[in-house]
Amino acid sequence: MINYKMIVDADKCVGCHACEVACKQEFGAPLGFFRIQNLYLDTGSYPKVKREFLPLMCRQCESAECMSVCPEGALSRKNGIVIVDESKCTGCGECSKACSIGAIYVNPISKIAEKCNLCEHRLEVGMQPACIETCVSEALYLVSDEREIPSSAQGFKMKESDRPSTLHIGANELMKKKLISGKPFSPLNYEITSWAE
Amino acid sequence: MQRRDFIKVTVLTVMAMQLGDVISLVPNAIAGEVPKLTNFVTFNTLAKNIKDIVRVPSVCLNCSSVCGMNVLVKDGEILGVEGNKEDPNSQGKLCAKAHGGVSSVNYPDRIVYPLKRVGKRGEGLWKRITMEEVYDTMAKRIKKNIDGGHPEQVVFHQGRNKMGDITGRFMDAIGSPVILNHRGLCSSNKRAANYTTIGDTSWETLDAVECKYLLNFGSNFFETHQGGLPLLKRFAEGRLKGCKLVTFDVRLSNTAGRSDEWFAPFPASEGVVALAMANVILENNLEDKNFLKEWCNTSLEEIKEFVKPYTAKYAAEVSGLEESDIKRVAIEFAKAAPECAAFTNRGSQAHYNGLNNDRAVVMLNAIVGSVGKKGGYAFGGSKNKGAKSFAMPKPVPPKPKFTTDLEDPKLYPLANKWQKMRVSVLAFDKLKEKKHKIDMYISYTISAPQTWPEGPSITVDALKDESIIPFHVCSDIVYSEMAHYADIILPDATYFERYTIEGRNAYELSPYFALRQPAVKAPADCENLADTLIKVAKRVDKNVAKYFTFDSYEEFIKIRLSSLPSRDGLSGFEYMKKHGVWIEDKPKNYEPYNKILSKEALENSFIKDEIIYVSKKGKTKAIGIMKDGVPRKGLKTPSRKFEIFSQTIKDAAVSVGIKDDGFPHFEMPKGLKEITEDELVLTTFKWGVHTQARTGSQKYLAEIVHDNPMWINASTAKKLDIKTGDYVEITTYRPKEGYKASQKQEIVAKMSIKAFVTEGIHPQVIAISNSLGMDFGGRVPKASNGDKQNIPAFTKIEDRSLDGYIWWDKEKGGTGNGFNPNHVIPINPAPIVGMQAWNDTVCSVKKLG
Repeated sequence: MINYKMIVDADKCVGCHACEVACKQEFGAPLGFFRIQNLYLDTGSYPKVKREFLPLMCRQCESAECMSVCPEGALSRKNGIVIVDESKCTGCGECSKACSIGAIYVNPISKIAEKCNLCEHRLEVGMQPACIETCVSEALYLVSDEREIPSSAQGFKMKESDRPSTLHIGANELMKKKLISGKPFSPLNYEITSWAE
Repeated sequence: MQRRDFIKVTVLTVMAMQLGDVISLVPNAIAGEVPKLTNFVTFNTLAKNIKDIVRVPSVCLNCSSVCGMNVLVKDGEILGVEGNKEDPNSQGKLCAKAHGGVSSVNYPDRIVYPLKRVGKRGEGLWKRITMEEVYDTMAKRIKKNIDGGHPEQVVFHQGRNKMGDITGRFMDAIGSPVILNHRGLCSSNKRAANYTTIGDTSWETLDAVECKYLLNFGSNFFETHQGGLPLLKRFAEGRLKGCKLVTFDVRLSNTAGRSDEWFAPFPASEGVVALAMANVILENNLEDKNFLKEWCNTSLEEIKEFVKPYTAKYAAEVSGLEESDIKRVAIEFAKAAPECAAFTNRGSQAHYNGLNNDRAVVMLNAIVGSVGKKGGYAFGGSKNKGAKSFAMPKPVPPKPKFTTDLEDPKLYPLANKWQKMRVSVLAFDKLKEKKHKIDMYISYTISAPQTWPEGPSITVDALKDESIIPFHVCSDIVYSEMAHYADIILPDATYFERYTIEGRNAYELSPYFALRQPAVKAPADCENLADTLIKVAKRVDKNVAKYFTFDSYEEFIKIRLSSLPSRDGLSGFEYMKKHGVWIEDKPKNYEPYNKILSKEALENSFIKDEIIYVSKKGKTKAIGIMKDGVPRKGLKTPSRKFEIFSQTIKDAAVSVGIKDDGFPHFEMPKGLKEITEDELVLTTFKWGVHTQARTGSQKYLAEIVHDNPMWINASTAKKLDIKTGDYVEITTYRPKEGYKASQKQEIVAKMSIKAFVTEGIHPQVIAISNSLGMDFGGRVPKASNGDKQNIPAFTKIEDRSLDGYIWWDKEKGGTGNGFNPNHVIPINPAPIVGMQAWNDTVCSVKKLG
């Protein structure tokens, strides 16, 4: 069994949004719902101002809370990926309420839970996930060998009990203000009025 | 049926409009009944079909970077795109725009039948006609102009055309020189600065992987920049090896925000900062004496002399930057040489003084000796996509032997010197003032009412008036701002459905070109304009038809590529269809000026004042320069050297009554020089997920950026009691020099807009993005949910997302679709070249109660 692990290097990210649009196109996702979102944050005061980015998607948690709350047992973890079994999901939304960062939503049209699955359909045929494949700055990548994990990579946790498998480099803690535990990623994160520190 | 598939239902109610039906493309107008859709089709997904996908190598055209892509197709449906790893520029990577562009193909509000206006122009009433009727109508109208002795009354106005091979041929064949474009709104000052200085290209090709120090004056290559993705990819790699990025921009773009240092100079002061940096470098003896001596047309002493007035202290006063920063950055930059590059874009060049701003920046590369060097300010190496590389099918129509002031304005002598940059920013005003008579106006990939300065007023006035533009044919994908004012709308093919020979400056510094090819057939009556023009040309008369002996644009491209040698057992054309790109096996084009000319090249040559010339067919052409007895290529300038002093510019300026000593210099535009403390400068910018006007209808891009409040610095906002979300009124004033100059604070227009208070902008600058605030284009750019009954287009498909899921729709509590700043921005072409000075608009801002 392969244990895939996503590494997100926010320091390398250029904020281009290609990962998000590639992801939405991959799955034909409805407007307003996101498997991956890139958060923007401006820090500092004029003239010393910086912009930071944070691509955020399901962290494929070990002992994931979404899995444990699902009344249908529709979520499972395989190859390091937390997967939704569409045939079992009833769209009750308990998983979405359980996620501390908001990385899982119920598709309002199909009524089925959707989240990042590291494009397992691509991995099966030897391809990279859509986001990784297109990333111009190689800010996203998969490792399957623990020894390849950069020492600066750490879990992005909203609460101490989170057990993210996906690891981040250079994630600003202030980004957490843009997330509401139990609510899917908000489309309003795209409004520039949300960029300020 | 699986549960997930329930939304993929074939439409039961066929809603395609019938021939002759009159419909309205604007809400609340009288129109025939359009059947209500009762079912939706959503599209198949890539995720479900990844194993069975067919890859069609092609080239993106959602911006001008033209990255190589594989179009991912299943059963005739495009499900997505991926980077073409064989493309040497983009190297398998794509940006958000490339992925977002897929939705343009199946956009439910796409126009797929030709339409003829039946109401008043701009009223929005249309009836469906046939393509046959289109061909006949266009051909007869053109014939009438030719027979009347005025072919120039047929005007072709292109935006990002890319098929100049056929559109130019069409215009040549009918005998009209009047081709308008948008280059003067885009990049003409930058291009002119590069042409006059290095000669053979309008676009530098930074060797960013090997670079140690990038000095960026006003390029936002993280988001935009022509060739932005290839540059960004290489910079990302170079940065890991320690490349430092310093950006000068009035606004915190993504590039500025991720630079090692960001400086916000006062608008239009970029040139004085660069000149002062030159001064500092020379004062510290950090110049490359050898490069200046060998390859520069201006001596060290002359350079020292003309940069003398531009001290760091003076530049600091003008720009508002710290003197110590200007000195420090200049020295850091010079010490990184030759692995360093200073470059520009819209932030430095889209000013009244932009030509000299850019010349001053480019000059820094010569002073430190990074020109053409590994890790430096490289250039050249691209494969020409024109007739030089790929001959045009014979017989080739001759170019018209005359020009008109519409496309070749004598007041701007450098607008068309190197390439046809035109000064199209003036076109609608000239037409409105009846300085030119035209009859037929063909618009293509341009949305001037949206993108032109004073577009919503002057451009619209001209387009609406049938006495000014008697007949307007618009080829477009959607019912755009331009299509609304047409008499006939041609349903264009998207860039996924057509051919083009492509390529741009080669970032690997080895020649390459690419082929855009159809991945799917265009739906219904949609047709590539190239094919439409071929059919029209055949019907005009035999004198025009004789230049169109091929039946399609595909055949035309095949003929052009027939000179390619076979490769891997495939003909050149078939190889291109399979691979999408052609790379020539040549070493990287470092120091192209140093190349020794071959014996063949020197045949029939002669030398005069060290310059090597050849005479062919009665024309004398410089091909090189003698250096220590060796014939070298040199730069493609008149002196075959890097031209800091420019006789070309001096002569051009003098010819239109402008004093100019030929050296790069700095002069603040008068309006900005005399700006009062209470006034601000309005600037504009482009987002990473949008182009000027054509991405607005692409849902996944519009979802990310759909609103564009006015950026204002927090300290300025505090003085004016403005908070984020407050509505403000902007009043703009005419420039104090140049076109329609006014010394009396003449008001251009006023607009109200929401404010966005930020730390990321110069305190005396406000910024509003372009690309938004559209009135047309369907539900996505208008941020208007609803079904197709209200805004009928003509495809048979519907996207459920557009009926209730456009979350930024104001009716759903969203921000709406933003604002178009162009109606308050005055037409303001810069001298000599005619580049629109987008970033020079003086204005006042007040909070609305």
